[in-house]
Amino acid sequence: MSRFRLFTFIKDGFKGVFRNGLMSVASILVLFSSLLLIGIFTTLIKNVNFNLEKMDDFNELVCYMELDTDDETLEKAEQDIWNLDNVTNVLFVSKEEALEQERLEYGEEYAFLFDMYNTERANPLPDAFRIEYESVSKLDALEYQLEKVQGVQHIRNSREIAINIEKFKNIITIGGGWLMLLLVVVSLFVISNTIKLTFHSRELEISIMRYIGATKFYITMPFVVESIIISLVASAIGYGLQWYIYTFLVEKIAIEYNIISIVPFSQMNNLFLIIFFGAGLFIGVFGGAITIRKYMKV
Amino acid sequence: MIEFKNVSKTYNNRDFVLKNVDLHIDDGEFVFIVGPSGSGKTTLTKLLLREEKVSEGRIVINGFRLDKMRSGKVPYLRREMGVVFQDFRLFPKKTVYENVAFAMQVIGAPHSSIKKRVPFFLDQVGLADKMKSFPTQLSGGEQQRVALARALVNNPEIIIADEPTGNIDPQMSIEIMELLVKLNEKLGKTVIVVTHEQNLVDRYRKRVITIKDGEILNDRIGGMFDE
Ligand SMILES: Nc1ncnc2c1ncn2[C@@H]1O[C@H](COP(=O)(O)OP(=O)(O)OP(=O)(O)O)[C@@H](O)[C@H]1O
Ligand SMILES: [Mg+2]
Repeated sequence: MSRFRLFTFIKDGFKGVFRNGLMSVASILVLFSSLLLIGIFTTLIKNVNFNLEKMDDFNELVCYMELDTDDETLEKAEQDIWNLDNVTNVLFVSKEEALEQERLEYGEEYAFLFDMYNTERANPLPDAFRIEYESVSKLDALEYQLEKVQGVQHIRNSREIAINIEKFKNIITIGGGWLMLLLVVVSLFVISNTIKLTFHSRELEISIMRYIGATKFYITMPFVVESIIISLVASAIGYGLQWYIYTFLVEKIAIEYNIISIVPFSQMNNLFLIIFFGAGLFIGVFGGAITIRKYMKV
Repeated sequence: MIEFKNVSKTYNNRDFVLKNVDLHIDDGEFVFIVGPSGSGKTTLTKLLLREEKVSEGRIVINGFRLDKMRSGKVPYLRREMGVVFQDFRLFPKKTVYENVAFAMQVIGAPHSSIKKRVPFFLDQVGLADKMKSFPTQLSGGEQQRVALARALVNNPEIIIADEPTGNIDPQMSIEIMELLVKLNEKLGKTVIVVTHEQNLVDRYRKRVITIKDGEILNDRIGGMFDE
């Protein structure tokens, strides 16, 4: 392809954008709002997951041992627990540490209550293991196996919370996914309509080109370029706005009110680039292509 | 060379628009195609251009098998032919020069050759002094001559004209016809003219193919118009 032809395609593409002025603006608006909504949903999903992951206590259970388990049994138990499926971490909490924690929780005022355990009475707290696991769905099996470990007295879990968090994650991810798909379809529809309009306004030109013997490639390139221009403009505007919203609004608010922690923009940037420019170009080119296939015969 | 063997055409599998057409046109021939309205003349030209596909039979043009052609090859077939229509089909916003140059740009001709050939062919059709005019500033006959220059500029062997004088007054029509005859005699182009105009056909005593109800009724060399 000569430089001259490439230039002609680009020129004709821009002409198409301007010829359909209002329709092009409308497609840019729809495409960029869809992209922005997709970006905002991604922001939401990513940050919710980020925060949930930080609250990892929920995928944790505590396994209390019989009151006077000897060291040998404790060591064996720890080994056995490590070997169980679904277990990602095991932390031993001795009864002394447990007592210390209780003391700290009650504060200095009540410290005297705890002092006696050091001197007069035996520590009433059991040794325990804090166990982190991977999947809530396999929690039952894990508990069943833990109960069979020698020396285990009882188990406390936070199943309800863990299950609810998982549900919440799923709703956000699946709901967000469907919504994004809907937005993509709507954008495809609008872009394809704009290209259809260009097609009609260029009917004479296309019919002449066909009779002269222009290749399909030559005839369709300006339309492809037009949809690329529309999507690039929409992508750039959307990306800019997303950047603004993220760095100036989301991050600022998070710092100001300190409620949740936010994934820094730099870590989201690649994803945003893919969404805005990747998805934008995909929608633009694919939306253009379906129309071209439909209306263009040799 | 153009050859039709047993060509039939139906639109949507309904009535035959063309039925068992056998036709042979040699290089350098001049052929009128006449016949009543709706008899299938335009359909015949559409088959030549592979705008429509045959329903049955075989068409060969300059070695291209049209009935078996893949759509990617169609543009190259069309470059063997120059087409002129009743309604001129010029770009109103392009000058005469640009209209003709467009045909060369579209097939990727180099700039230098465009600059040489466009004025040459505009001169051939007698419009050397109108290169900068817009189509709306020209008479019907002049517009059709621009269309003819555009059809010629890529040097096709075959010229197809479907009712080229349908929108032009009689005096101008003769000029267009003279030009087509000249292209045939001087440049050796194969010329196929579809027309309704008896007086023009009778004037030249060329080969006349009469189509009626989709069938070839008559094919006479040096013929006269009859319906
Ligand atoms: N795309 C189409 N779909 C269905 N029928 C068609 C189509 N094009 C043409 N026809 C029919 O085919 C028949 C022949 O049409 P065609 O245009 O070839 O006639 P024609 O000889 O050129 O007539 P005219 O002298 O009026 O231009 C007509 O009955 C017409 O209605
Ligand atoms: Mg006709």
